[in-house]
Amino acid sequence: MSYTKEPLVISNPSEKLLKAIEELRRNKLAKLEKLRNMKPEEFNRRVILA
Amino acid sequence: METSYSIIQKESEYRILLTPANLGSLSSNVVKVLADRNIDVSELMIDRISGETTTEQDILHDITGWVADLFANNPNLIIYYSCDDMTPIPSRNTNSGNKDLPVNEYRSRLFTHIFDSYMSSHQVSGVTNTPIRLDNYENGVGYSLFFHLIARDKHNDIVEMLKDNIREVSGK
Repeated sequence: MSYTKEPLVISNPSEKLLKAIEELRRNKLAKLEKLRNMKPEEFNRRVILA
Repeated sequence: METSYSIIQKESEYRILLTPANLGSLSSNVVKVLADRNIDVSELMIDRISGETTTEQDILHDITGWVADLFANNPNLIIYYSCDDMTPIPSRNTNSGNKDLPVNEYRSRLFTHIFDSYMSSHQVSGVTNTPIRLDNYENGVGYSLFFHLIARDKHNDIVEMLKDNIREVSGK
């Protein structure tokens, strides 16, 4: 059984799509920065493995 | 949905965040359908804060299990994952056949491998991984971007709508 579909491949995406992706990337970077600066007690779950 | 998880093992710390995806680039029709059907499209982010050793299998299983539990408990959740090309992969196996893959393509293949393994080993059905690849090349020079959507089969129409919107924005 296959759980993964064949990829949707877009070749030579439009400027509009690339701009949208750049926006997503900026958004991700901001959220990653937030994630990196979170204090331990701010996480919903925290595990320390041996 | 917004929820976070921190895993520490020896000198390594991994931080995982599931956060509402930025839908601002989608057409208003698509946003309306998502809202009408109460679909939660959330972005999965995984970041390694410290440590340089190869990530152990039990860490990958732990992260996968956490995400799978969230997915199982949220019937209208669709997970969006964009494969990071911003940070390197420490201690990557440089002897493997994948050694020349860009880091985002490597992450995309790993994501699919972990997803398929989890689905198979836990005998889960009715959930599908849809990879999306954008090839932006001119005269053989350029780059590719990799994304994934994880959705229940009952949301196949939503995934198709998202794919159509991407094609439309790209003029394809």
